Amino acid sequence: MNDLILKATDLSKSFSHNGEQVHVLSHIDMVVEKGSFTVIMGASGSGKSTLLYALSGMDKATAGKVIYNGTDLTSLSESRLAALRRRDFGFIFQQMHLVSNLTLFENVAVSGYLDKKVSASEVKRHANELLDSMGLSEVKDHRPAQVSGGEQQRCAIARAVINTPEIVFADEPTGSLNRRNSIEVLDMLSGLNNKGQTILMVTHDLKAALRADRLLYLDDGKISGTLELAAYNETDEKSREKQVNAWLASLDW
Amino acid sequence: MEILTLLRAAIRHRKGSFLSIALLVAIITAVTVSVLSVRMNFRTAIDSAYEYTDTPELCILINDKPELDELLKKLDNCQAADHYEISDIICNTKMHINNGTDIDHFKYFTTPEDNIMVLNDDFTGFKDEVPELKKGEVLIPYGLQITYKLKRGDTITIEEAGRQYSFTILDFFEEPLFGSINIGLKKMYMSFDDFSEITENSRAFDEALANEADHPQPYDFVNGKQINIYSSDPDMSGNELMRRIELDTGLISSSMLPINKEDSRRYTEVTMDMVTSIVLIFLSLLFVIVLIVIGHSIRVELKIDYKNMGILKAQGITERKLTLVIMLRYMMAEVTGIVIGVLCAIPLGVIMGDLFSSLTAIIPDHNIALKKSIIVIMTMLLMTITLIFLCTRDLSRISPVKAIHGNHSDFYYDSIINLPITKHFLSFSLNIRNITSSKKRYIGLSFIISILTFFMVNINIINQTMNSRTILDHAGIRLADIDIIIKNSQGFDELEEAEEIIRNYTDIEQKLTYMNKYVTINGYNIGCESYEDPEQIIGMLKGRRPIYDNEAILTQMAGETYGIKIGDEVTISYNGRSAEYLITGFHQNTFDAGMSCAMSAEGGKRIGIGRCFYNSYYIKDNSKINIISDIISQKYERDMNIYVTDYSKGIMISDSDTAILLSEKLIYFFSIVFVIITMLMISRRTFIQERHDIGIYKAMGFTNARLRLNYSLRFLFVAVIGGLLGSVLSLLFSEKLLNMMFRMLGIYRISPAFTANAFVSAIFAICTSVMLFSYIESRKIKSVSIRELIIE
Repeated sequence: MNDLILKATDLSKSFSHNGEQVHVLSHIDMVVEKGSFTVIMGASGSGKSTLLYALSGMDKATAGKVIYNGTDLTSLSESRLAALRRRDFGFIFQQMHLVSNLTLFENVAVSGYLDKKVSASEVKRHANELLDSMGLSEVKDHRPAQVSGGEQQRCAIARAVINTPEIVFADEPTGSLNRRNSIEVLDMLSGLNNKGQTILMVTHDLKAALRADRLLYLDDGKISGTLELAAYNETDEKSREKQVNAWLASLDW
Repeated sequence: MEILTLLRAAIRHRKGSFLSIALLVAIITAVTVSVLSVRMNFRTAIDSAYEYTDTPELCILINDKPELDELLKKLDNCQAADHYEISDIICNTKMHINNGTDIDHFKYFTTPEDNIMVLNDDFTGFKDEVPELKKGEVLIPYGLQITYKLKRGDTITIEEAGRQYSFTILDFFEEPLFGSINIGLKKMYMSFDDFSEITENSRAFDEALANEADHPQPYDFVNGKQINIYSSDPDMSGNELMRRIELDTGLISSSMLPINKEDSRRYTEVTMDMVTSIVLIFLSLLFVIVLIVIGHSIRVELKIDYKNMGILKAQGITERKLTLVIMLRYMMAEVTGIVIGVLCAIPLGVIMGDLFSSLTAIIPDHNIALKKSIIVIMTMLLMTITLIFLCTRDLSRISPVKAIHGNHSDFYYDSIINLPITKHFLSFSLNIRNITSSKKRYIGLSFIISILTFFMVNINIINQTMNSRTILDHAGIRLADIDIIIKNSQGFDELEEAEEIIRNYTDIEQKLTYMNKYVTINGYNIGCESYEDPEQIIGMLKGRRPIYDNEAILTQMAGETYGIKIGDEVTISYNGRSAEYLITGFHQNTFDAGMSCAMSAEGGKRIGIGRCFYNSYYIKDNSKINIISDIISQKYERDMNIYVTDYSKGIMISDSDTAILLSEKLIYFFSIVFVIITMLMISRRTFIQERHDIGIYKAMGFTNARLRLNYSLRFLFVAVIGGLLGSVLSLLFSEKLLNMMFRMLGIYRISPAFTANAFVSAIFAICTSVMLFSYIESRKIKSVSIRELIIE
């Protein structure tokens, strides 16, 4: 078993809605191993995005703990969480969320500049390298509005990993992309994972889920199923798809 | 119905901008309406006072001299005069209050006339009946009450023909012709018994003076006449009436002092006009700021509400209806502001009225200037409607299809100014990027701040100019440390000794010896200064000083008013004697509110202006001026008056210092209020627009504290740019503004005192307010959650 990087214990989240308590997450226990590609699946409203916020410290759980490298995220101050986001966590969103008045290069570099330990020239070199590896060197001086959705999402991935974070949290990264762009983005993520990057992704896209080596199925705020897979290989995608489909069918997907 | 629903929703959703605009408009309306009302109320009050007291178009004070009968005969035949009334007066130059304070004004006493406007106990109106004056009682004008803080029951002592008489102040009265504190002459009433006694006692003194002196000076006589002249043509100007009477009779140049109703009104209203003009100009620019804010607000709303507007369009709501909703909302805010403003204008008008009452010595009514206010309000509304029409043209660009798909244009614009984002100056470079990529938003704020800074810097410059002795000296405003006025021939003999006393304490750097009288130029009445050394005349604008005895200069204001040019030959008359003079130049001088002329003492002798008994001294060290004053006044009390001014406490021209200080306070107050309100509005809109980016930056690892600081630093940066722009505007236009303002006082050219403090204090006040309030407003950044970036 690899080292644990993130562990949730008895994690619960509930909201008060019209005077009634709605339990979105209910006593969840889970772990994320270092270097793993974990995907959380589930029907709409199952609480998968809420789980992602809670695990990444974006949102406070009502009860339970989220332990990251021995520290309980639920007890950290806003500034400590900001520091974690600067160095240890990277985020990829469905809507990309690039800063619209910065170029693609600047969107990536600004995140890098926040790490005081790395020199400006090193950040620039790394940002150029990342953009180059993601096929964005031609458009790196363009504004987000001037490039395609796929290019934007690839830039968002570069931004998420510029500080070589311990974990990348991805929330439906292919949700607003077409098929061709989705494959490009998923290839990027798989490539990163192959190099040892831990990824925790929420998706309801089966093609995206195939990239995982571990699948969690969330139903009504509880983890109702887990599927361990071998490391992703493009050549056995069809058999992998059958295996995942069967697993999902068993969970009433 | 749908319009009403949309309107209700829009107001509920945008309460902040509704209230801000209402507040800004309320401030502008309140001050504008009260200023217009105050101006109207004073004008009405002066008119009513003129009517009630039957004030003549021209009042002449003249010595009771033998040739008076001849002059009056000529007046009988003068076409310009419809009729005249003549009464006896007692002139006075020596008076002190029981606490020892000397009253410097030239004054005269007369017996009670009809329709004296005696003030009520709290100086808010008038008594129904004039109290009967008994022996030993006097009625004092309100202007003197204000200046010397006099109370009913105070004792005053006057000296006439070497005898002293004490009186108790029975009451105070409003006097529209000489009443303003800007007018040096004051009229008072005493009982018939006292009047007869003093007249009788001083008759021998006057006769001796007339026989003994070479050129007896009009002010030295005790007994005189007041001639109230009523014009035959109500449309004839005061100056023209005086000129025609002078040309027909010579009465003006023979008099001690003539004053016409028009000039009196100008002197009375000059301070109020100066302050209210500055405030009205300032208010009109504040309204421009409100229009900028409304324009900015509408443009931002169209971007923020793009989707909603698109959906409404898709549902069949026409552009016209959407425009109408926006229009109604802003008009409702403006009308709410106007209503609040008009209500506030009532008490504000009373406060302003009291304030100007202490400058004009006129008790005003407290009415609202309805007609003018309605015109101003309608203009404001029309300008707003036009602006809203222009700004809502962008509604046509909203595409329902784009809006529904959420791919409308981004909030940000590309910029040709793309400074790089650097690690070392990350916050600064991100701020610059934010500013350059949404220029319109920040240009508006910068422009607003530049206008406000311009006014604040200017009011500082005016204040500092008024306190700069050097500048005022160059502008022709004489500000000597010590003034000695010789009272009699003995005084001339003792002057050198008095100067020796000054030298015992400090060096005399400059001495000016001069005289001032009222003369006529081509029949026009005008103040005249004659200088022992004409080279010492200050404030020359054009031409040269009057070196020879047949030369004179006059102020540019007088030249323009009377149509006299350099090189013209004019007739100058004084006390019945006339001579021809060549005008060699124009100068500027505040004497007699800018309407004066000057010549050499030799030139003055040609028309009988006596020796120069005004002596002004500029000394090296003015720390001992009070000791010098005490010694000289004790030793030469009978023969000379000494006045000292300690300019280390600041110089202010008495007529305008209150005006300047009042304008300064008003402009500072409203500037800060406007900066805060507009800044909060723009900041709030900016926050809405940037909320999404704030979430992204938070996800990158920016802390709340850093984002808040960045946010307020960005506004500070814009404020500094606005402040610098305002300062540049001040450098370019302050001189023009200052000259325009000083022109009312007769100063045509004045160099502004550009001190660092004038700029720094204004920029500091504005920038601190912007930084502080944008930081307070940025607290909302804490409420932005990264979760907002995630679609469930």
